[in-house]
Amino acid sequence: MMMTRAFGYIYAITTALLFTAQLASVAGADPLDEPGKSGELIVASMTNGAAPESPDDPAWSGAGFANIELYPQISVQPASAPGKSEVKIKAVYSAGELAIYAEWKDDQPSLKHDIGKFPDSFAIEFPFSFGAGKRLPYIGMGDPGQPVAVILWKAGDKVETLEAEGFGSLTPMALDGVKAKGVWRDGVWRVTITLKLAGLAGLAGLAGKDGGSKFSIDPANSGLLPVAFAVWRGDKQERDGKKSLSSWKFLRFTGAAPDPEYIKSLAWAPEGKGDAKKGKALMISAGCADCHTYPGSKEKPTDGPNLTFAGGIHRPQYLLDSMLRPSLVIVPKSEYYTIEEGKKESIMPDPYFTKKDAVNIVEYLRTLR
Amino acid sequence: MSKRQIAMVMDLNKCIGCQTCTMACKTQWTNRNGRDYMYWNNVETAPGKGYPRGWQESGGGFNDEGELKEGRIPSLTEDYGKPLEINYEEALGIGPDGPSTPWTGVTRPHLKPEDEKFTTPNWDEDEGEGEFPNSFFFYLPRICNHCSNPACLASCPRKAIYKREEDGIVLVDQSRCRGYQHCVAGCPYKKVYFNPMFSRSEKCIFCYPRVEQGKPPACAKQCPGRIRFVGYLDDEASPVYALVKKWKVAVPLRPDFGTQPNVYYVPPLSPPKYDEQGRLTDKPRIPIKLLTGLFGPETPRILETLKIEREKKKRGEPSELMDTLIAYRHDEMFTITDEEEQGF
Repeated sequence: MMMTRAFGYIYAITTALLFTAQLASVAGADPLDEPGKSGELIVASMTNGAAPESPDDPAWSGAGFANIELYPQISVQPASAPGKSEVKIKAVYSAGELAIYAEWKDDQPSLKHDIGKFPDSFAIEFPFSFGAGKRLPYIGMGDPGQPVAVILWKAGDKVETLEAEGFGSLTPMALDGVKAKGVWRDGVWRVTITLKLAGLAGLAGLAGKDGGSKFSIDPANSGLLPVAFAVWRGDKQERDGKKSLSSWKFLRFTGAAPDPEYIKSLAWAPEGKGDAKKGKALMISAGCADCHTYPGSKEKPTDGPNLTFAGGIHRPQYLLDSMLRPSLVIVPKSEYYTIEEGKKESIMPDPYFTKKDAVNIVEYLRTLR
Repeated sequence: MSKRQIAMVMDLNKCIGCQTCTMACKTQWTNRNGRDYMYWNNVETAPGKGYPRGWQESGGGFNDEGELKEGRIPSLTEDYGKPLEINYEEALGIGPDGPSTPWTGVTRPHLKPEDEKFTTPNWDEDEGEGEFPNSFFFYLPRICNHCSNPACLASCPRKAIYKREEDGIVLVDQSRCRGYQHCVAGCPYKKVYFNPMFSRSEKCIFCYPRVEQGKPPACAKQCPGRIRFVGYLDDEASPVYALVKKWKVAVPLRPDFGTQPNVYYVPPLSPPKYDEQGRLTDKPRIPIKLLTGLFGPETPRILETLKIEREKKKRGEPSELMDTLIAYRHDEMFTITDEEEQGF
């Protein structure tokens, strides 16, 4: 079908308007219903009392669980053994603190960091900055220019606060007032991590090192905080990249109003819905299986990141960027890039597909979870 | 590759297994703070299980394509040997602050480890192999090889291990290590060790604080057998250069691991075998296969060279190689600095 450019623009705008209207059209609809339905929201309910500091604190009974899928880290070595799992999350906040509760199954508690032994661990990851128009950091420890803050609990109730800008770059980050308590009972770990918030209005209390606002959260977007989780099972020798991780989720603070522009920017709304079947066929004809392992590929190549759980670990916008601007976020394994004129260039050329083809492929990849 | 590479040569013809080097290193570095189980320098009996037990079969290193091979982290109780806690107080009446309850003449308990079941390093010391009178063994002292292609460095996802430009010494950056222990699994010689007190990995540092003052590592300095030579590989006046590059009688251990070690060995000659009639044959007691398996295919030529040069010296003829290996003076063995070494 031939479209003039003008017609194309009108088509795009109309679609966008219709989409926005859809978001708000259902009577009294909360614009966060869409991400809520896609399992991306974790509701943090407000408490008038003190935020809980242990998994057995009665304050948790009022909060509901969000069941978060965890996927094995398979983008780079050292990688985790395949197998999905789940962590159940609750979140509660008070005037001064945010408390996160995590519960996951683990038959074999591992308590020590010793010769050939690694402790069971749990981590929460936040982006340093986020908002409308800002790309979320790469899910796996961030990327250069897009740092993440990590709160890492280890069995024995050791907790570290760290920052990273990509694999292998974890460094300690000063952060006051972090408390953690974990209890293992009957094959289940239950952990509570409590963080200080400076005032209800903003989440700017998560101060960065030097007391400065390196880790600052845009107050206009308070109310919807991106967050991700990771679990390490010590008895499986899991540590560093050998872990299970979730994709980016969003902590929704009841009682705070997130910027509607921001919410809109989170939606996956490409021009024209993609076709997963077409996407799957495109991947076959383009020979993606030559470099990427994904279901159906006979060989298990490692020239590119393993896509077996691409839909579960990555948000669709990231998957699109990987095809249209592969050098934007290069997963840091040396085989995945070359150095040209001092800059890292992905070995996937830029762009690898037309936007339409890429959207179709993204729709297919979204099913890999 | 670093700009310069410091290296060590050990002449296995002279190692008597006295373990002075082991004690020099242990009292200097590893007798405290979580390191008790570590032997950055160890002397094992070959053939034997080695320390840690079965290290030669524990994986790590590189394959022929230069890819890292999977390795395993040794077990404290089975492979390294958990340092023994001994019932001194109970058996000898000696507590941490001096004599405790004196004996009253009744039978006292025997001195023994507190763990019923225990493994220590070197339990197979001096066992060797073979049937008397043709039994054989030799001592194999080992330190970190400060390789030019270290598998430990390649294994670390955080790049917490680095090789110094000025001398090629390989070190674990204690501020970056997070105790993941990929390096422990990756080293085919099992010369990186996890410290459970600090949750970080540690290894032989080639006594770099001594080297920076022009002194040789403690193990080399203390060796009564005078088997160790230390110098820069590019220094043509150094015995290390003479033995490795000129005479080519010093070779790395297990070169097939692919890590390009910088600790070299002069393989050992051995006494001749007896035949059934008790007569001496011309075959060496240490099988050549054992030696080529450890030191590579050049071993027969090296042993031949040693024999020839030794005979020369016996006949009163000059032999530069023998004069080097005899190690008359410390300042000829250790050429880290031009200054005269305070030694003998």
